[in-house]
Amino acid sequence: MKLEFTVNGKNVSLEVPPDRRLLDILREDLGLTGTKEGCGEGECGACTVLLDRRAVHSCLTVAAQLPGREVVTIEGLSDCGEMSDLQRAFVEETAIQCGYCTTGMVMSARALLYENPNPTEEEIRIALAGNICRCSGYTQIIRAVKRAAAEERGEAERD
Amino acid sequence: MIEGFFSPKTREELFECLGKMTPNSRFISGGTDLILKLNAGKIHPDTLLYLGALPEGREISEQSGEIHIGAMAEMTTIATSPLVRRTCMALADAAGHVGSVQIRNKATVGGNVANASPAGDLTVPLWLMGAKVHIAGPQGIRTATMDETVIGIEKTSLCHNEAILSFSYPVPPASTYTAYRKLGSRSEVTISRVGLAVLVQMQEEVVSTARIVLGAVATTPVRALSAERCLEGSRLEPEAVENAASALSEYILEINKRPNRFYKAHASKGVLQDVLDTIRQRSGITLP
Amino acid sequence: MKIVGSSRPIHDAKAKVTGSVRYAGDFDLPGMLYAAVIFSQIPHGYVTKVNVDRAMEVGGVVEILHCFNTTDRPYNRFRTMKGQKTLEQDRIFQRHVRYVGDRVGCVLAETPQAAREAAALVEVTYDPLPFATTVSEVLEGKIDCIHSEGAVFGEVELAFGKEPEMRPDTVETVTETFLPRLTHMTMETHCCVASWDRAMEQLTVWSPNQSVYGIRTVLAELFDLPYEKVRVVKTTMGGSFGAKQEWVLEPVTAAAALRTGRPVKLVYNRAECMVSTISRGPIHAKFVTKITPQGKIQSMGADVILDSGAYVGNACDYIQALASKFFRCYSYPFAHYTGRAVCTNTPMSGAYRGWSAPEMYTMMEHNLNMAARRLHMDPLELRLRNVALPGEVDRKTGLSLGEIRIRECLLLGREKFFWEKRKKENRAFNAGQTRFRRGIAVGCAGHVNGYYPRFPDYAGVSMRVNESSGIQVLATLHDHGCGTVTAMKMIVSEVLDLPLEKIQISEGDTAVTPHDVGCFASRSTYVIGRALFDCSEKLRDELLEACGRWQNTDSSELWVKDGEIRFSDGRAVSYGDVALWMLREEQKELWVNHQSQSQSNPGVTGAHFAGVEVDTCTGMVKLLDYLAVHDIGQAINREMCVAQIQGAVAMGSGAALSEHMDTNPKNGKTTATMKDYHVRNTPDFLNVRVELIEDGGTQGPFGAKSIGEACYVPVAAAVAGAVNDALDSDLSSFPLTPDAIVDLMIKREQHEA
Repeated sequence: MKLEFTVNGKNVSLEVPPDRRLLDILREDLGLTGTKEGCGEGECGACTVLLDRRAVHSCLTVAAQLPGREVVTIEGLSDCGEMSDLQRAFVEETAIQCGYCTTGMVMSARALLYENPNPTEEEIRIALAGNICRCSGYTQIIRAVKRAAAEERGEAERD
Repeated sequence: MIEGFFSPKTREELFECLGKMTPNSRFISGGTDLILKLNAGKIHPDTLLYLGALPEGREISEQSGEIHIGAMAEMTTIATSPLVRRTCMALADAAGHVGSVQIRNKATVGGNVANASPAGDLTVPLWLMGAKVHIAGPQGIRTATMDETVIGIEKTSLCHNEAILSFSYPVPPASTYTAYRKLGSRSEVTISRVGLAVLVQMQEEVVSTARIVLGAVATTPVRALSAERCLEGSRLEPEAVENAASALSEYILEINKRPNRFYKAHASKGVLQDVLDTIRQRSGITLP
Repeated sequence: MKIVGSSRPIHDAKAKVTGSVRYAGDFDLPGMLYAAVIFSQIPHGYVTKVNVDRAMEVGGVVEILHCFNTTDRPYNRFRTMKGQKTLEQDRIFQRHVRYVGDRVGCVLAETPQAAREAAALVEVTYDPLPFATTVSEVLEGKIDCIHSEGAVFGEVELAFGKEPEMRPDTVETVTETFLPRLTHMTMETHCCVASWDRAMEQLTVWSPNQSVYGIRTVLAELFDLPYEKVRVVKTTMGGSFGAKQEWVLEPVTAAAALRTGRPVKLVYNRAECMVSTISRGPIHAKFVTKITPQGKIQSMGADVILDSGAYVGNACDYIQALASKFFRCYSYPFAHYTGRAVCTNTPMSGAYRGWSAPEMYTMMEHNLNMAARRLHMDPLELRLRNVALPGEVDRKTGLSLGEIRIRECLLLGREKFFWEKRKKENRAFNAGQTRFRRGIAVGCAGHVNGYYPRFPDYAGVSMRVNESSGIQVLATLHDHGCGTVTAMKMIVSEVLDLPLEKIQISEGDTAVTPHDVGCFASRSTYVIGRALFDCSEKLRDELLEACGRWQNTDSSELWVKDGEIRFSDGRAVSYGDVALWMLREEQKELWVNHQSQSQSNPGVTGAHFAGVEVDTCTGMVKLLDYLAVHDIGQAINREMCVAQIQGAVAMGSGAALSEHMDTNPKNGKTTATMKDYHVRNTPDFLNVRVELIEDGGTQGPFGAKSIGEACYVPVAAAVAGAVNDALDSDLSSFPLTPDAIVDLMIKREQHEA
């Protein structure tokens, strides 16, 4: 099928089978390897991207579902190589270790903050329930999301 | 190799596409069940029909005292819908705890029902509300009940060229409270091992009607009549709840012959207590 | 100290958070082929035929390697050193397959989809044999043909110390513990890229791994290549926990590269990772303590059977290693140990975080909790009466435990966890209603810092100053994603008083970095970090001397401060200036090498305090509070240490409550999805509190000891202990699932009825 959709604000047109996974389209067809495959079964969240501003698993999304829709990946969050506040919060709060869960985690957090700019810890935990980190106990990640939320609301001081 | 791909944008296009479906064709809406099967190589369909391009597919509306929910409505949409939350919290509860946020943003109520997993979450509250299923086929639309539609383990009465278009249930009378709770292997992102949907109608703080639907213990959701009787006429006080829990537990042992039935029978008592706690909160009943 | 003890982001944090870092699975080399492995579908048998006709018809397929056209030379995927004695049972592809998931061949194609599609079309014909999926089936003689040497390996009986005379009132406590198969569940699945340059006869392998030199040694010998023609480079690693310290994909990928002359990438999916790499095999153990009525341990004994799976990888060493953990925490006269590994037709057992210590302490702590009950003694008090004190000796090695601080961990934890108060509160809570039960427990454990004295433990480092005042360090590091590189940079930065950004350290690359056995046995900070510290001091001294020569000043009148060399008259020159002067005038680079050998292995311990609430209806366990107190010597990167400890608690809670892989006895298939193997997710976890006791006094850099494995060792013991306290039970068959708990409740209800 002919697939036309947008990725990180750019129009994309590809000839792909209708059951080609969005994850493979991103990584192989478009060279956007920031999105990772951790399980291929929608359990680990490493493949999380935004589809029309909502967090979804790109391993459980296929071409058939994408015409006319907007996908944003981790590469779409940085502005000309500059990290977004959310990404900087992850860096500075020691919320990154092996890094494999990081891009999916950031995308889930991004989606949460679009919808809920002032989340409680419980709300953050529910929003990230589908993102597994095997290195940490999630404490720094949650702290990073809280900090980014405060900065986006203009409440926190930025360096 | 998938050769055909349809993405109908109107009802007319849908009926036309349905006419082309073979027994080896598959529907896809949210895809969270289907794509898993595709990736695992368990199915090799000749055609995929994407239902998500139908604008009416996601609509939730109130029409003539009935709530209509498009089959392509995602779990997130259902869980946050003011119409659903006003008329059937059990449905919002169920939708709000399917998988993770990522799953809820894609998985649809139609897909959940058509998949007919015994552990399905939305079948249970839909069963509770006596929901009607509106099914599109090449000839038009037919309506069936939930138990006429979901008939066994991953078995529905849908033909290969039929797709669920929407569900509808009557707006319940005032003083009706519902709740759904599922027990999985962990608190979130888990498949249901015991799913419980409860409806109570109160008259001056006494339960006039109680309906209890159990999921994940039989091949389809089932009504737990003996447990319902324990609640009717009560004020949901601890003794009545305990009797209902025992009745529920015994019922599970009667109908389920699998090795983990003892676990489910025992655990269901806790699930019922928790659901009724929620019902109490929602109805404003205070215990003496 | 300026930087050691502070908190810094991991060195490649920005690359990771922007998605620009390249893991091996992201590599895309010109002409690269994709590999997909063909796995055995039967648990035991011989491959009689491999028919590739249908597979070769898939577009893009280039070549198919299998057990009949590839070398069948055996090796051991856990070996790191030349001459190291190991049983050689692994093969790139097996004709005698011994578990569902054993490798039979691999397809090489132009796209990953074509490779997998073709792999599914390869027709393998088997001559099946009887199979056994449990140790008891094997020991009962159900099969006799899994290996020509038999099925039982590494049988050992050991005794340490002197058994004291037992008085008649000695309390003997016997417990049994069953630990199921665990998987590491690293978020990055196993992957490898290999390339064979035909013209230069150079094999290059990139993979996330814990020993580039280990891989080099095994591959060079497997393919008859000189060591210097095998280059192994460690890539950014998305977690390991031991999963990537055995060479599973590297031989296959290298064989494919050698055959085709094109780069080859092999990426395992989650199922393949869970089944066909390594797991921590099931362990069945009996544990015995003999304790005086006053609570002094007289002896400990363990009898252990490890299910090694289809092959003996590290199993014999694992059995031995268990015995080395007896005296890392408590002080008592005597220990007795018997152990053996048994092969079954199941996935291979291999390295797992803690490498026998978590298993030993899970059994030991459970036994001590049960003993405490029989002694009518507070379990924490029982620990306090037996902890090893500074200067005491590890009876197994005869080495001093040095500045061990387990007693301090316990005392601090007792206070910060409100031990006494919580006991009372829990009693009142439990008495007040019937459905929920709360309990607390302490889990203690001791670990190691490197191999000494079991095996030689050494490290080499080289450092040079460049003309822009940057320090370029060559050390063989294998960062798991736990911050090793950053911690090492912090050590160098502290000694040379330079900002972190001026220090460049890359990771293991056998063409460039010095020989090192690898990152395991908790040796990186203690041994390599120490070498880095010493080398930094050497470099600092060289810098000052060179500057002295340049400026005709005695180097004793110079010092380093804030990235400069200061003179007493107020002048300052940069390190780069000195380096440049040396190049021009002395025609030498400012460069030092250093090699050191570890000479100690102090006690490194932790006391973990867990508080849980058990729902006796549903069997679900909720963690209410968790405090980890660690005897760490000196935290190098503080928040990273905290994050590692918390992560270990998440992992250990999973091991205690939910993680297990099962093999179906009917068809030999093993759990292979995340859906069926639940690790901790955000709603089921909490913010773990951490306290660090930093009394230094060790030979580690700045007095540091290990942490990455030590923090995992006590967790399952603490969590299970808390559940048993809540329920007044003695559950010791892991994991303590809701089903197991409800089973107990049902039995109790029936007993009461």
